[in-house]
Amino acid sequence: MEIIPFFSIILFLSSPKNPFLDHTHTHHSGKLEISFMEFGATSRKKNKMVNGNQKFRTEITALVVDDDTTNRTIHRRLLQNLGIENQEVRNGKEAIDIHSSGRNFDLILMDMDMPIMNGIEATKQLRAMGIRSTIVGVSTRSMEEKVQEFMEAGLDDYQEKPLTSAKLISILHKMNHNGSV
Amino acid sequence: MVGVGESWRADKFHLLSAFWILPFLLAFKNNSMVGIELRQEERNFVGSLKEQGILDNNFDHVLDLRSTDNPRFVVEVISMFLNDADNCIAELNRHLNQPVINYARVINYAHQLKGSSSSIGGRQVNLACRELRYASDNMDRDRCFEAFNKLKDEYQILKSNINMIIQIERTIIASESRRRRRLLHP
Repeated sequence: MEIIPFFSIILFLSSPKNPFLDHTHTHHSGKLEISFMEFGATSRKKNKMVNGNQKFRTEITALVVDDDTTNRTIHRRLLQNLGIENQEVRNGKEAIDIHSSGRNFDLILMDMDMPIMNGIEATKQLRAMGIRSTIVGVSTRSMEEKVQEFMEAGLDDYQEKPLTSAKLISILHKMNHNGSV
Repeated sequence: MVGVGESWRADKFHLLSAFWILPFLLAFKNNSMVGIELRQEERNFVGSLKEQGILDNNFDHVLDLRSTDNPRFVVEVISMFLNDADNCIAELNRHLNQPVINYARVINYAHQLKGSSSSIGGRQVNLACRELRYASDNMDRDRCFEAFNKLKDEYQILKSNINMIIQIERTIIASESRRRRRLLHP
């Protein structure tokens, strides 16, 4: 009986529900391999996991296009947490330049308002260049007119800032199921 | 029926196991419990800031991005935000004090600060930026000054509070670092 507390401590520490255990996934050089169980365990809202044991597997790369450092950092972190290899540029022109250099990305997170070249213009130019990547507009703008203009420039999807893990997973889900959003 | 000898051995084992567990529990409290208590303090503090409307749920998303391989993430993002926001406020101050206001530049900086404050969960700063943006769109000088003064006040409140969160985070990081070192080198 006296060893029960000892074993209960050991059981607690080895339990999957132990909050001190590291539940982060392993990044496999660009290959996304994640279970929603693992992702839910990394989230604070452990009771709101999506489809407990469902596996989600793809190999994608992403480009973050945003003039704000804080937003770029947060969006890149979101992508990194999902094992997505990613890069960043600071405006629409740099997004065009990086594609002109031969780089290609499966997913582009495009901010709307940027200096030098905004997201609407950059999206139009990328589509004119024949870029077929999934381009998701991410902005604080909520005016329907501006969002419509952004969509018509060639977006596959639009998400209001701030981008969250849940929003990003829904984007990736659509990409996984449809081949494009 | 248990003999006297067997009873004595059982009692001795009971005492020894309690003695063995006690230092373990104390070590556990000294290291991990400190981290847990600090996290709880942080949660309570963030909760009170949300009740006051200074922060919103977007700040929780930033905290959720913290991980064991990058425990300094929250400190880095907040520091990054404060650095950019200080610059935005300085530029807004400069442009609004020109004899002829360049409203396009004011709109640009107000929009920039609106976006980054939204990502960090700075609710009141976000609303103040929105107000400044509307005033600039209408080229209303007086309303711009009023909105900017409000923005400066709200930013100072946000800045002082998230600086406190940085301090809590740094204390947690130091505590968890000590705990890992003790586990590796008992």
